[in-house]
Amino acid sequence: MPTQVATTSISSDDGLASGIDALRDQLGGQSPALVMFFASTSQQMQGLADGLSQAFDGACVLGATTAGEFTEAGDTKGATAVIAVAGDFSVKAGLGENLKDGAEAAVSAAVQSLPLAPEDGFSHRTGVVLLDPLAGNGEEASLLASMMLGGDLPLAGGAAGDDLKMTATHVSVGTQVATNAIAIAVISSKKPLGLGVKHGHHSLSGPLRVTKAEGATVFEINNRPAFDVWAEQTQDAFGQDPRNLSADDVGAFLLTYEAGLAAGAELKIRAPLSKGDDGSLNFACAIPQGAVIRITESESQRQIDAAKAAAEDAMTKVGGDCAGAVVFDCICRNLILGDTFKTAVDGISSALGGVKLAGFETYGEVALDAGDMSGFHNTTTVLLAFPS
Amino acid sequence: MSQRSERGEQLVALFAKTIGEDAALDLVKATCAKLNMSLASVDGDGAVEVLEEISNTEGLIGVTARFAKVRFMLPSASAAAG
Repeated sequence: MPTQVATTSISSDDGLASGIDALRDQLGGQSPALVMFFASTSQQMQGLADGLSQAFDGACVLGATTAGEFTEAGDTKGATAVIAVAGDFSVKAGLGENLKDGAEAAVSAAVQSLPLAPEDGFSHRTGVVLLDPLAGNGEEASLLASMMLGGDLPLAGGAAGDDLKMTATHVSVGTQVATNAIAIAVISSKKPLGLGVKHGHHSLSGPLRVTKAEGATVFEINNRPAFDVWAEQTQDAFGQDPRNLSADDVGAFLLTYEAGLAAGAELKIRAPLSKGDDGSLNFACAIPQGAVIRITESESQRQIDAAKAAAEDAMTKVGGDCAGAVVFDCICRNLILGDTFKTAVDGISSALGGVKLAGFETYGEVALDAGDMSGFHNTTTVLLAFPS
Repeated sequence: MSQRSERGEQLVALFAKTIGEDAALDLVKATCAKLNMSLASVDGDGAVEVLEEISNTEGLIGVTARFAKVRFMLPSASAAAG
């Protein structure tokens, strides 16, 4: 059965019905195996989960709140992007709650009914993860998900957002919507899906040592309050003293200047999400005390090039024959690109052959392929391509 | 910088992906020392011992060690790992 991918953007509470009609029209009578929706916090997530689950009752419906959402037609704020995939796929999913209390228990709950091998009639498995990054254990959760699913399947996904409020993000499986949670799905397929990953950041500062940290909170860098060091190191590039920013603007600043851990020839990027009153910085996953980091930055063209490279990578993995894609794209890229973000989306779609795609702006990305030893990323484009 | 065996290099590299090179080197050296091993001479069996010891650590580092053990036990992953 050929793969059919449909996308739509829903921008109002009463747009769900017309969005569902649009998806059905595009699917041409095929029933989707997978529906994913990416909703601004200004949308009614429970209503979307209920409506899409009812409309596509044979599909696995997954959702996440966002810091922005897009389809191949363009990016939006305050809307919902939806993608529906029909074809030779079987999808199962589970939800684990209380992620912050312990990644292991939450991941275990999410995977308990998921297949550890491709289902009958299928040859491949791919994992999809949507998680709450405010739990502070994105890397642990990603590695545990891979381990508990057998350790040998590609994993793709994103950390939910909340329009830069840094207050609460939500994910959903079916009609079950939760905060402080993780949604994990396994897609069984007859052909492999294509996973592409790329970031375009480089070092801005010299090496800085984390001198006091606990879990995902960095208290001190070089024995000084972390945010003070961040502000001093980025002030010239940022154009103003970040310590003068309003509370509402700090999140966007931090997501533009992220931390890079030296990991071989590359930088492993870690996103600071918020600052504490004591000058500490809270990250999306643990930064160990003693780690040496560099503050990073990027420019528009590098972001555009990185997104296209991720798409080309994914396209290679589906043998050059792609039907559509889901994109998990760091919000920092949208902050850097601004009005030119559509250019990056166009580059992705073009590299995939002009196909339909939908995605959202995340607070972190999940990508773990064969041989990878780390699953949680930041400032990165992660792309999951569906074969024709 | 002290010398590392091939397995020692691999151990540092796998933790570096998650916690950075400097913290990874400190972690692996300290664990080797605790197990009366040298980073310069740790072999395959020794690497597994190091991973098992680090697996007992709470949080991200312990999970990373457990994940690495799973990867090492998969023939396909071993062939694909760089």
